[in-house]
Amino acid sequence: MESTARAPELDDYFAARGPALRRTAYLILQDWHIAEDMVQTTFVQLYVAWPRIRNDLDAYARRTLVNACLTHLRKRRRERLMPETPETVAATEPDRLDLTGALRQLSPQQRAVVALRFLDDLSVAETAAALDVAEGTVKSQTSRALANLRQLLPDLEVEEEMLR
Amino acid sequence: MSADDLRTLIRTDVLADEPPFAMSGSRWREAGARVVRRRRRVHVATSLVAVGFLAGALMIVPRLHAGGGTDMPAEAQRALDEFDRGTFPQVFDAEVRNALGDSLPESVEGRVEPTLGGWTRLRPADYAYTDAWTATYELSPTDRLVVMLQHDQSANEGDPQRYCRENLENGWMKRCTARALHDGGVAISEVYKVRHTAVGFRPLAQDGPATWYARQVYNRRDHGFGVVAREYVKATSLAEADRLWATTDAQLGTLVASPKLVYRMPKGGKRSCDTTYLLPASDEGFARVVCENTLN
Repeated sequence: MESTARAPELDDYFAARGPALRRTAYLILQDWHIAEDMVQTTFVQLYVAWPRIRNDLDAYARRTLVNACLTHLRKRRRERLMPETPETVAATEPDRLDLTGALRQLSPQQRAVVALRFLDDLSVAETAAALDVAEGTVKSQTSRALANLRQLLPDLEVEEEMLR
Repeated sequence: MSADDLRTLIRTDVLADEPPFAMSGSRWREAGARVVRRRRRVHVATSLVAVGFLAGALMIVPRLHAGGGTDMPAEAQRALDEFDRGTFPQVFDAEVRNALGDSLPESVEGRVEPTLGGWTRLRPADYAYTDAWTATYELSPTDRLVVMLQHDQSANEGDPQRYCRENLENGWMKRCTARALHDGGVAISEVYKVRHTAVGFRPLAQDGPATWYARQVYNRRDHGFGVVAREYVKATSLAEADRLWATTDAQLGTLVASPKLVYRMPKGGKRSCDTTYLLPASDEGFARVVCENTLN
């Protein structure tokens, strides 16, 4: 009975937040299909943990999703293959895909920080909670990620306020 | 550029390629319900099983101490008992040369080293983080042989016939066959298109232009251990690749079945921190091990 009760509420949440969670997963994984798999994995866990997390659903969902993505990348380190080489990307769609190529050069943890802070618009504290790391770690990862992006995209001049 | 500009840039980039959201909730709902039901059953069964388990463990533990696991073939167990990190590269190299014969000329030197996941090179100082061994032979600038040994407790799970069928249907593989081995393992032979990039070889989708082909035999051993022998040749068509292979399927099959190709995992407690690996810019470079807890 409890299982059938949790489904409708989670269904609503899935319809409302599924697309955004998929985007976050995509930014970390750089693959829409695997991103969907990770969203599915996340919702299985949300379903199972429902009785104790329903009041803090967003934070739990984000944390579960990011963990699933990072675990997936750790397990499949070199099998996680880039669909395009940076050269190919540059030759085909120079304006937009430069950023895609640059994001792929970041470490998974840095991409997770970028996804949570600049795609999901989370604060340092919220990002730290989602990643289960200290706020200082988020700041240093953000700083490193932006430094790497600046190096890869010389036109990208980022103001220091982003690091706060 | 402000934070808002970067947010806009990233969102534009993600949204540009976003496929329609057509995910169904039925998959996670069914999977979640299964987990919940299983947990309830496990919860009830646990107390009943505990007594029996304890009794069983008391009987089994002395046997394990005496002779090791029952799934490990005797010759492989002997090789494992004699494993020495210092001499294993020579053992590995000798097994490869024994199996391949003239297909691997003496003049071709191999690089045999412990790796992370079979691909990522780590500096010798980071040996404790490695979990696989890899031998690489550059037969020519257009022909490369790679042999990977990897502990994987799930290596012989799943249906290999289905694995082949699905990969052939979706176009990722040009050929794929699976056969059961006498020792309980499975050998899977595959051919697929790849492209060579700065960071290594990458499988190609069905319609991608091929510049290289890969052919491999993968031995999924019943005792949780996998061996892959793979040859890459530069070719623009499968027919051309078939003319260029330096090794035969039979040679690769013999190689991956060698009982001497087993190794001990490194000892040490370095995995306690939340490690991440910064990958090198090229497949010749070494990855850097970073402990996330120390990034403050």
